[in-house]
Amino acid sequence: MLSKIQIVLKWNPLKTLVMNNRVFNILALFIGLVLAQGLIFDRFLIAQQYVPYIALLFIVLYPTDLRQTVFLIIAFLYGLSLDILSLSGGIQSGACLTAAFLRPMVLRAVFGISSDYSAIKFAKVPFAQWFVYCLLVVMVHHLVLFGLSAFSWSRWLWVLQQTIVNGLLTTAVVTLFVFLFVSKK
Amino acid sequence: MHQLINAIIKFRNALVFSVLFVFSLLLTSQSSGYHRDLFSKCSTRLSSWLHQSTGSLGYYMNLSKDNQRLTEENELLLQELLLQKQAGDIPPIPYKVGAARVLRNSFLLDHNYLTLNIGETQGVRPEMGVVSAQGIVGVVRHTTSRYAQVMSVLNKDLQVNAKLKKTNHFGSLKWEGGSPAILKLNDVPISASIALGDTITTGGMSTIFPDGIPIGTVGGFSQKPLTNFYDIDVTLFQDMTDLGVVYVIENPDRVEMESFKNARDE
Repeated sequence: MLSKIQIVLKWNPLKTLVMNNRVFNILALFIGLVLAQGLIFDRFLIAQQYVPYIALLFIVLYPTDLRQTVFLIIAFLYGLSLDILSLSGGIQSGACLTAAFLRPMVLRAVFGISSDYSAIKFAKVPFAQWFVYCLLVVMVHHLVLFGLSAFSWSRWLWVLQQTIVNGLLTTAVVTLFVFLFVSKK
Repeated sequence: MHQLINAIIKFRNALVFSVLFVFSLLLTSQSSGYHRDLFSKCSTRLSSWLHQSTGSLGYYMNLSKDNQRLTEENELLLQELLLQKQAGDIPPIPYKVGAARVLRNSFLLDHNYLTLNIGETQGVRPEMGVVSAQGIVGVVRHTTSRYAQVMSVLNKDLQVNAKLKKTNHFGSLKWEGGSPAILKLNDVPISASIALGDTITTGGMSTIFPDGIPIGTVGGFSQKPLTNFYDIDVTLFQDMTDLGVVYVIENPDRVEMESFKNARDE
């Protein structure tokens, strides 16, 4: 009985969180990007129909050495928050979830088998690798996003066009952000 | 059980993905009228496809019941039709119609008979007419409690009163053997104008068949040598070799009419 209490007393939530700085970073990225996307970037209509999905930065930058199952749930919640902000039902959650689900495969394809379960510092990888990785994840996300939004085979051309144009736009903006703000240390 | 848990652990990501993805689809389906509409359309299509494919089994199971129902419906319609045909001032004869299935049918002999699956219990009596949707079939000869034997029109002993629909010239229809599709119409005077393809119907002179039931068409005609009558070949509408459901027609006034006729004959 006494030992149990001691164990409970030993566990200091604040200390654990401070120690685990990454959780803070992830949480900050989560909230910050959702708000940035929902409140700012959704209004950046380029040519009246294209939007840079800066929110994808979260899916792209999420640490690669953490558990995939947890990532899936977090990605779903992330998409859900975006959906709630932009009143889009479940299309963002589905898209973010799919992008998160397929990310390990993209990682393996782009960075090789050695990247499994090891932390990749995205700011340090060669630009070409980064670009292909980012583009693939963004394309998966956008394909599901616009596919769910149209939800009809007859509009495949629209889906494809939106996916490609928006995908390139998003990749460009995300790459810009990473090169500007992510520390290379 | 152990393997199952192992499998779940192994595919946990895919599992989590599918569950959450379905959830997001659900959310999407609820989000806008457009998506709700699409989903309900999809589910309608799916469920109707399912029902159709499982329903075809039920359709086969119900065929005999459906047939029964259709036959009953046809009985009523025929009864109605017979009433309609008797236009004019005289009160129509309320013919009664009962459907029956042909159990046995012969057409290769000189004296052909049919057996029906209804008999005295269903109210069938000798001398009732039997017709099908395409024309006349025969006349009831004998009955037992559950079956009836019908003298087919393909029987050399049967003569049916018939007329040209166009001109109302009467004659008597008789089979002379040979092809089961062709009957002879005798006793039509040469004063009648006949053309190939004219329709032959039952005449009103018989107490067995109502007036105006189609029989067949004129397939050929010539003058009988040394007489003033035509020799007409009638091609039957009804293929007598292919009989399914037939209708037994009862004339409720027949006994009365017969007694009148007999009294006159005496």
